[in-house]
Amino acid sequence: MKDILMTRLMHLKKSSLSLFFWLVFPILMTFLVVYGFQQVKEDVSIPVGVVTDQSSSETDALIEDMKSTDFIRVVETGESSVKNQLEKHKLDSAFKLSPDFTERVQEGKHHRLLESYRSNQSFAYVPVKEMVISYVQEDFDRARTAKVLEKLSAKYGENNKWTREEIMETSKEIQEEQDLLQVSLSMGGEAEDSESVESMLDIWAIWASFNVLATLLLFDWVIHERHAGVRPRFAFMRYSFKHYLLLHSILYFLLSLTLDFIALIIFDVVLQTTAPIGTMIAFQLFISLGAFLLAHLFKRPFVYYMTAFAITLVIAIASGTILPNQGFTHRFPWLMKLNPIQPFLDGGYGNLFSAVVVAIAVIWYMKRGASRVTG
Amino acid sequence: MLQVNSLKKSYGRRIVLEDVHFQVASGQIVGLVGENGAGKSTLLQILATLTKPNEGTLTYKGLEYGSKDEKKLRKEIGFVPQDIALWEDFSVKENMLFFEKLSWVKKNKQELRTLLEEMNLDRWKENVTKLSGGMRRKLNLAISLIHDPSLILLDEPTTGIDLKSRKEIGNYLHKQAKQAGKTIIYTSHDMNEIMDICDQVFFIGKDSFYAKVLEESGQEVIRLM
Repeated sequence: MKDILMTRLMHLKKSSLSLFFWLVFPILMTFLVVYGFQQVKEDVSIPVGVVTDQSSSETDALIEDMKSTDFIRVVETGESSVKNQLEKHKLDSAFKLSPDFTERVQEGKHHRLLESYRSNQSFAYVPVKEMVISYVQEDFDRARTAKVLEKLSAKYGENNKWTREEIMETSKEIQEEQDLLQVSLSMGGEAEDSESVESMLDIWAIWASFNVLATLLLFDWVIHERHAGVRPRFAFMRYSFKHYLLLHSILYFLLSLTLDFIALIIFDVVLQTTAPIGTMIAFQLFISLGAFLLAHLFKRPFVYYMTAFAITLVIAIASGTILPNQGFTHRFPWLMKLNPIQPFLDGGYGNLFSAVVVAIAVIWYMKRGASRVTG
Repeated sequence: MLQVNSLKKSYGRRIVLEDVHFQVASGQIVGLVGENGAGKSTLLQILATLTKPNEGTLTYKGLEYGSKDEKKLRKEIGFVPQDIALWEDFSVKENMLFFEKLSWVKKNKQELRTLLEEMNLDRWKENVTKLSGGMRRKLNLAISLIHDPSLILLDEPTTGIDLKSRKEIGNYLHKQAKQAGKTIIYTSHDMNEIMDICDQVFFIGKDSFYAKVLEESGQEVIRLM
């Protein structure tokens, strides 16, 4: 094994820079996507208009809540200009507070508090509407609680002990302390923790997708060496060509795995996210084996590189790395079984892909004939 | 001693070799001549254990081809392919060290350098891409001999190289046969080269041009088919 290691090191010496690049590529790209996303999040927000001709603690609280929401840029505007702004798509949607919004909330009347509008190209209307309704509901419930307490105070002769404002303020404090309700804008369906950018992205899906690409590109040596003129020499050496390829693949697997562990440590420290080591080993094993076998099908490295990019793209889409994929997975459930990164994302060890790869590897190993003679 | 009896090889309906008999003693150099496509390379591939014959028996030093002896046989064989079989991005030193690591026989750097120097190749650190055709042929040969084979099979080892390099390779092979007692079989189209260094010439094929040329010069020619 030492001799095999030495021969591989001789090859690696010739391509040390590209080897290093592809080994750190998944870590680098994951950070690039996470911080890029963070930057985009800061730069991009959805313009939402709010129309109100009054100012009270209730209206101010609603507008403040909306302003504090990620991805929302609140534009306070007049009724006359809101239609124009929607038509020109300067606003995604707009919400007009009824003239007696404050009174209605205080009196516990929850009908016709808001009127909503949207542009014909609105893409965030539904989630924004749900978010505004939840804020209104929150304020409405708070006001109703205050009203009930006022009635109870009056009934038991404790007038003037608490004011309505004090009750509502205390209610807010309790909510903040106990984090009773948190609302965030979500385009994909399920609400996410708005405090963490990382939580909106599946960091491990991103890393795994880039790791698939890096592993495929790392295994291009199989094509180069299978089609080098030296192959007939292996018939007269200690190792057959097949064993030579296999042992070198194990070295590549171990090298990639080392970088996986480094990624695990870095992501844990910097992004506060971790993954089970066992599933990570299984994941790297199966994608390395898959890349090794796939490379046997190609004569020209360029075609292999193009295929590697195409495969990675399909895997990234199927795994929801690029876009939410609920529809995709419901339509093609079998795709998940063939997705090499799915077991890793699910915390498992293998799926149909793993089984297929192992079966092909066994056939490849057992296959005799011309390949046996020259290795 | 290499012994070949009733050898037959065909590809589909095309019979390449039929009823081939010969034997070669240790320390002999045998030239294999014939027109293109006559079956020289096929015979060499069979002798190198890289291709299986359809019929016939082959033995070398008592080891039988196609049996469980094949691994032992391969340790005795040094095969020099017609195409240059080197890592093009490696230096001479790296190529030698690479194949030494995978070889059955361990050799240190000095021994590897000596092997090259015996062929007048002293570009130890030179990259393969910077070597002349003759130097590349010498390196190609040297790598095949790292494990000290006693049966050396060469498929047109001097194709496309200058006269000086041909002579140097010829002298080296002659020395290996006469001093180290190695058995050497090689193919070539160069009749002068064949006549210079070979003890025997085997003719294979239907075009007797090569045989006539050799017979006219007084060289003993054995027809294999």
